[in-house]
Amino acid sequence: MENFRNEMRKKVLMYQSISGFTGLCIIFLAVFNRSNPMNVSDFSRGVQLGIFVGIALVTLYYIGKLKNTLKNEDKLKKLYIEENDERRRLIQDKTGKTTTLIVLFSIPIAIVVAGFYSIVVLITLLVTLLFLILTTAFVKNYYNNKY
Amino acid sequence: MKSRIAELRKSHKFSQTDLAEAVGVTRQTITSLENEKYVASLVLAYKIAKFFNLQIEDVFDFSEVEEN
Repeated sequence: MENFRNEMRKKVLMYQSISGFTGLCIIFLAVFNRSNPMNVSDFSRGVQLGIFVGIALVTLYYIGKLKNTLKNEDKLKKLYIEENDERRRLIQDKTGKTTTLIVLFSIPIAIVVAGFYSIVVLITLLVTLLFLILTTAFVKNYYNNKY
Repeated sequence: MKSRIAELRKSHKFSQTDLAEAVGVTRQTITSLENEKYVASLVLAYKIAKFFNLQIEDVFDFSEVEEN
Protein backbone atom coordinates (compact mmCIF):
# COMPACT_ATOMS: atom_id res chain seq x y z
CA MET A 1 0.00 0.00 0.00
CA GLU A 2 2.95 2.31 0.71
CA ASN A 3 4.13 1.90 -2.90
CA PHE A 4 0.67 2.85 -4.12
CA ARG A 5 0.62 5.86 -1.80
CA ASN A 6 3.96 7.04 -3.27
CA GLU A 7 2.61 6.42 -6.77
CA MET A 8 -0.39 8.63 -5.99
CA ARG A 9 1.87 11.32 -4.55
CA LYS A 10 3.84 11.27 -7.81
CA LYS A 11 0.56 11.53 -9.69
CA VAL A 12 -0.40 14.61 -7.65
CA LEU A 13 2.99 16.16 -8.51
CA MET A 14 2.43 15.36 -12.19
CA TYR A 15 -1.02 16.98 -12.13
CA GLN A 16 0.42 20.01 -10.33
CA SER A 17 3.11 20.33 -13.03
CA ILE A 18 0.49 20.08 -15.79
CA SER A 19 -1.70 22.60 -14.00
CA GLY A 20 1.24 25.00 -13.61
CA PHE A 21 2.21 24.55 -17.25
CA THR A 22 -1.33 25.27 -18.47
CA GLY A 23 -1.39 28.35 -16.20
CA LEU A 24 1.80 29.57 -17.92
CA CYS A 25 0.24 28.83 -21.31
CA ILE A 26 -2.82 30.93 -20.40
CA ILE A 27 -0.57 33.85 -19.37
CA PHE A 28 1.53 33.44 -22.52
CA LEU A 29 -1.62 33.43 -24.68
CA ALA A 30 -2.95 36.54 -22.97
CA VAL A 31 0.35 38.41 -23.46
CA PHE A 32 0.71 37.18 -27.05
CA ASN A 33 -2.85 38.12 -27.98
CA ARG A 34 -2.48 41.56 -26.40
CA SER A 35 0.71 42.30 -28.34
CA ASN A 36 -0.73 40.88 -31.61
CA PRO A 37 -4.43 41.84 -31.45
CA MET A 38 -5.13 41.32 -35.18
CA ASN A 39 -3.22 38.05 -35.54
CA VAL A 40 -5.85 35.52 -34.42
CA SER A 41 -9.64 35.53 -34.66
CA ASP A 42 -11.79 35.82 -31.53
CA PHE A 43 -13.09 32.30 -32.07
CA SER A 44 -9.55 30.82 -32.20
CA ARG A 45 -8.57 32.74 -29.07
CA GLY A 46 -11.64 31.41 -27.31
CA VAL A 47 -10.84 27.82 -28.31
CA GLN A 48 -7.18 28.16 -27.30
CA LEU A 49 -8.06 29.65 -23.94
CA GLY A 50 -10.89 27.12 -23.45
CA ILE A 51 -8.54 24.16 -24.02
CA PHE A 52 -6.02 25.38 -21.45
CA VAL A 53 -8.64 26.40 -18.90
CA GLY A 54 -10.33 23.01 -19.39
CA ILE A 55 -7.06 21.11 -18.80
CA ALA A 56 -6.28 23.28 -15.75
CA LEU A 57 -9.73 22.67 -14.24
CA VAL A 58 -9.56 18.90 -14.82
CA THR A 59 -6.09 18.65 -13.27
CA LEU A 60 -7.16 20.82 -10.30
CA TYR A 61 -10.15 18.52 -9.76
CA TYR A 62 -7.90 15.43 -9.74
CA ILE A 63 -5.35 17.12 -7.45
CA GLY A 64 -8.13 17.82 -4.92
CA LYS A 65 -9.58 14.33 -5.26
CA LEU A 66 -6.21 12.58 -4.87
CA LYS A 67 -5.10 14.76 -1.94
CA ASN A 68 -8.37 13.99 -0.20
CA THR A 69 -7.90 10.26 -0.90
CA LEU A 70 -4.33 10.30 0.42
CA LYS A 71 -5.60 11.53 3.79
CA ASN A 72 -8.08 8.69 4.19
CA GLU A 73 -6.86 5.07 4.45
CA ASP A 74 -10.22 3.52 3.46
CA LYS A 75 -10.54 5.72 0.40
CA LEU A 76 -6.95 4.93 -0.56
CA LYS A 77 -7.61 1.18 -0.32
CA LYS A 78 -10.76 1.60 -2.42
CA LEU A 79 -8.82 3.56 -5.03
CA TYR A 80 -6.08 0.90 -5.03
CA ILE A 81 -8.65 -1.80 -5.77
CA GLU A 82 -10.28 0.33 -8.48
CA GLU A 83 -6.95 1.11 -10.14
CA ASN A 84 -5.78 -2.50 -10.05
CA ASP A 85 -9.05 -4.29 -10.80
CA GLU A 86 -8.32 -6.66 -13.70
CA ARG A 87 -11.81 -6.45 -15.24
CA ARG A 88 -11.62 -2.66 -15.23
CA ARG A 89 -8.21 -2.83 -16.91
CA LEU A 90 -9.58 -5.19 -19.55
CA ILE A 91 -12.45 -2.77 -20.19
CA GLN A 92 -9.97 0.11 -20.54
CA ASP A 93 -7.82 -1.90 -22.98
CA LYS A 94 -10.82 -2.92 -25.07
CA THR A 95 -12.21 0.64 -25.03
CA GLY A 96 -8.88 2.00 -26.30
CA LYS A 97 -8.60 -0.65 -29.00
CA THR A 98 -12.19 -0.22 -30.22
CA THR A 99 -11.99 3.58 -30.15
CA THR A 100 -8.75 3.57 -32.18
CA LEU A 101 -10.31 1.24 -34.75
CA ILE A 102 -13.44 3.39 -35.10
CA VAL A 103 -11.34 6.56 -35.48
CA LEU A 104 -8.99 4.83 -37.96
CA PHE A 105 -11.95 3.88 -40.17
CA SER A 106 -13.86 7.16 -39.71
CA ILE A 107 -11.06 9.54 -40.66
CA PRO A 108 -10.59 8.12 -44.23
CA ILE A 109 -14.33 8.55 -44.81
CA ALA A 110 -14.11 12.12 -43.50
CA ILE A 111 -11.11 12.73 -45.81
CA VAL A 112 -13.11 11.63 -48.85
CA VAL A 113 -16.07 13.84 -47.86
CA ALA A 114 -13.79 16.80 -47.05
CA GLY A 115 -12.21 16.47 -50.52
CA PHE A 116 -15.45 17.81 -52.04
CA TYR A 117 -15.45 20.95 -49.90
CA SER A 118 -12.06 22.06 -48.57
CA ILE A 119 -8.47 21.15 -49.36
CA VAL A 120 -7.34 22.60 -45.99
CA VAL A 121 -9.64 20.27 -44.05
CA LEU A 122 -8.57 17.36 -46.28
CA ILE A 123 -4.87 17.93 -45.58
CA THR A 124 -5.53 18.45 -41.85
CA LEU A 125 -7.41 15.13 -41.67
CA LEU A 126 -4.74 13.40 -43.74
CA VAL A 127 -2.02 14.60 -41.34
CA THR A 128 -4.20 13.53 -38.39
CA LEU A 129 -4.61 10.06 -39.90
CA LEU A 130 -0.88 9.79 -40.54
CA PHE A 131 -0.13 10.88 -36.98
CA LEU A 132 -2.62 8.34 -35.62
CA ILE A 133 -1.14 5.50 -37.69
CA LEU A 134 2.42 6.42 -36.68
CA THR A 135 1.46 6.72 -33.00
CA THR A 136 -0.35 3.36 -33.08
CA ALA A 137 2.68 1.72 -34.75
CA PHE A 138 5.06 3.30 -32.22
CA VAL A 139 2.96 2.23 -29.21
CA LYS A 140 2.52 -1.29 -30.63
CA ASN A 141 6.25 -1.59 -31.15
CA TYR A 142 6.88 -0.35 -27.60
CA TYR A 143 4.60 -3.01 -26.08
CA ASN A 144 6.00 -5.70 -28.41
CA ASN A 145 9.43 -5.00 -27.00
CA LYS A 146 8.19 -4.62 -23.43
CA TYR A 147 6.35 -7.97 -23.23
CA MET B 1 -16.49 -19.82 -17.72
CA LYS B 2 -18.68 -21.61 -15.23
CA SER B 3 -17.68 -21.42 -11.60
CA ARG B 4 -18.94 -22.26 -8.12
CA ILE B 5 -18.15 -18.80 -6.73
CA ALA B 6 -21.77 -17.81 -6.01
CA GLU B 7 -22.53 -21.21 -4.46
CA LEU B 8 -19.41 -21.21 -2.27
CA ARG B 9 -19.87 -17.58 -1.30
CA LYS B 10 -23.47 -18.16 -0.23
CA SER B 11 -22.64 -21.34 1.67
CA HIS B 12 -19.93 -19.45 3.60
CA LYS B 13 -22.36 -16.52 4.08
CA PHE B 14 -20.09 -13.94 2.45
CA SER B 15 -21.37 -11.01 0.45
CA GLN B 16 -19.93 -10.12 -2.94
CA THR B 17 -18.31 -7.08 -1.31
CA ASP B 18 -16.61 -9.29 1.33
CA LEU B 19 -15.16 -11.56 -1.33
CA ALA B 20 -14.19 -8.62 -3.57
CA GLU B 21 -12.31 -6.91 -0.72
CA ALA B 22 -10.59 -10.15 0.27
CA VAL B 23 -9.23 -10.82 -3.23
CA GLY B 24 -8.60 -7.17 -4.16
CA VAL B 25 -11.09 -6.57 -6.95
CA THR B 26 -14.29 -4.56 -7.30
CA ARG B 27 -17.71 -6.01 -6.47
CA GLN B 28 -18.62 -5.69 -10.17
CA THR B 29 -15.84 -8.13 -11.05
CA ILE B 30 -17.27 -10.72 -8.67
CA THR B 31 -20.73 -10.15 -10.20
CA SER B 32 -19.33 -10.63 -13.71
CA LEU B 33 -17.52 -13.82 -12.65
CA GLU B 34 -20.67 -15.22 -11.08
CA ASN B 35 -22.69 -14.32 -14.19
CA GLU B 36 -20.05 -15.96 -16.44
CA LYS B 37 -19.47 -12.68 -18.27
CA TYR B 38 -15.81 -12.48 -17.35
CA VAL B 39 -13.03 -15.07 -17.07
CA ALA B 40 -10.70 -14.56 -14.11
CA SER B 41 -6.95 -14.30 -14.58
CA LEU B 42 -4.79 -17.07 -13.14
CA VAL B 43 -3.80 -14.85 -10.20
CA LEU B 44 -7.41 -13.92 -9.39
CA ALA B 45 -8.56 -17.54 -9.75
CA TYR B 46 -5.79 -18.56 -7.35
CA LYS B 47 -6.79 -15.87 -4.83
CA ILE B 48 -10.46 -16.90 -4.96
CA ALA B 49 -9.65 -20.59 -4.60
CA LYS B 50 -7.30 -19.80 -1.70
CA PHE B 51 -10.00 -17.69 -0.05
CA PHE B 52 -12.29 -20.76 0.05
CA ASN B 53 -9.38 -23.11 0.93
CA LEU B 54 -9.86 -25.03 -2.32
CA GLN B 55 -7.93 -25.87 -5.48
CA ILE B 56 -8.57 -23.71 -8.59
CA GLU B 57 -10.24 -26.62 -10.41
CA ASP B 58 -12.64 -27.06 -7.47
CA VAL B 59 -13.92 -23.50 -7.98
CA PHE B 60 -13.71 -23.07 -11.75
CA ASP B 61 -15.09 -25.46 -14.37
CA PHE B 62 -12.43 -26.13 -17.00
CA SER B 63 -14.45 -28.68 -19.00
CA GLU B 64 -15.05 -26.16 -21.84
CA VAL B 65 -11.32 -25.45 -22.05
CA GLU B 66 -10.51 -29.17 -22.17
CA GLU B 67 -13.06 -29.70 -24.99
CA ASN B 68 -11.38 -26.98 -27.08
